[in-house]
Amino acid sequence: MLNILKLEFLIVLRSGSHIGLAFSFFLFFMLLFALSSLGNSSFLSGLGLTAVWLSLLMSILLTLNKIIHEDFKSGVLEYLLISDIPIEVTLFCKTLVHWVSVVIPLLIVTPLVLITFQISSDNVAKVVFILLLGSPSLSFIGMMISCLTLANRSSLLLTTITIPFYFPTLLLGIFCCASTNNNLIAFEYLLLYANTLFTIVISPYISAYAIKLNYS
Amino acid sequence: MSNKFWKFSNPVLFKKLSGLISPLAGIIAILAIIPGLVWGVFFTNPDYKQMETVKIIFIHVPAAFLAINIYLMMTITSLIWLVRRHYVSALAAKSAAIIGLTMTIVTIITGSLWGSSTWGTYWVWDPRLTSFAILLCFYVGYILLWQAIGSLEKAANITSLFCIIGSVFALLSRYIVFFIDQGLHQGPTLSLDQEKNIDNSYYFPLILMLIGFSSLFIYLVLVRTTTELNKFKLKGVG
Repeated sequence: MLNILKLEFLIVLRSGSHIGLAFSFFLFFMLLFALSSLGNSSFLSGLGLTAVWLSLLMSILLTLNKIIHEDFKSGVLEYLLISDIPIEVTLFCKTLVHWVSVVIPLLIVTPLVLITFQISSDNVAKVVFILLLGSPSLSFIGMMISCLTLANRSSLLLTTITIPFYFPTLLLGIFCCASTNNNLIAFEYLLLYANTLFTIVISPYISAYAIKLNYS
Repeated sequence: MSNKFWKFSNPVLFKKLSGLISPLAGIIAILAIIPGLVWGVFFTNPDYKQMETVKIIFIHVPAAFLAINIYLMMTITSLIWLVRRHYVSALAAKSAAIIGLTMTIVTIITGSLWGSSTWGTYWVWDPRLTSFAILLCFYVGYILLWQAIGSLEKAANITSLFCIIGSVFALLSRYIVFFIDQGLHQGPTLSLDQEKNIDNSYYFPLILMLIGFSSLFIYLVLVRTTTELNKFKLKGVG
């Protein structure tokens, strides 16, 4: 499994122009939110949490077609299917690499961006922590849906169909970020962690099943 | 028993059976909806507070009931397709989706008309309204996915899986929405617990309307599934 992870990381690092793109997209999208509040600072601080969640969601959403569609197009996926390593493990590693390569760079700049949105500095740490624990589910759900849409790889279709599946994570994420409760094992936070764990567990199996359905 | 049930997955037998049942369901639908509406609208007393607008309930509640249960029915038929691979099952889910979408839209429209007179606004992001908006998204996604994929078998596979995962995520979103906010909308109108039910003068026409809408759905879904089967057969021949 470590070997696959290493391999996938190398592939992403060497070919991955989408990392830089996702990073810039995140910053530009945040800038759009900031500009659209027209310098009204009370409006801006109310918008901050929504803006950061939506920008993160959009940058994951728009890079989803890089996870598996290109492997399908080039025929690599068939070799992965017949190799000795279970396809579920490969898919898990692929998703993990996608999450690390897209989200971790964003989380590094998020504190800086949030400060420009007038959010107090002790709140910033909490928001970043919640983003760190909440966003894996976005990548894992995206993996499921991109495996479902292998038959029609239009990126607009993928994006449109994935959005409804993001509702639970987005709702819980913003609710937890806005919550004033600082005890990080309170019920709403536990729900968020549960949501992440649930999607991480089901995603590789459902994705593998979807791929097999596509080849049958 | 089980063999007798599964034998209707044969398209020819299914068409024969649906040819028998669908006129019956259509007649029941007419016999229930027209008297139900007339009884509900003209022969019940208006509510002391909401006046005549309360009578929207006779459309709103059956439509909402169907909108939710059609998704459930689609999930079950999708599961049957994935396990037993009967074309009838997949096509029934396909033909139910558009009816479910219509019912969802009817629920939202009647609900917002009702809301405009009782709450003073067409739309609030109340949990029940939000969960119907979410349900609408899943119906639309399902139909889009059917349209996007050409080959019937592949499309059936993929939409079935979408429907099953979708039902999990739709339920998840619904409970999270309810966890976040309790909202304006009243609780359930009909329940098995007699104490909580609405008054009998509304209860009986409402039940009549529920029966009528359900048989209308059965009629429509049988006719549409037969059409889809015929289309599939024509494609196979041509």
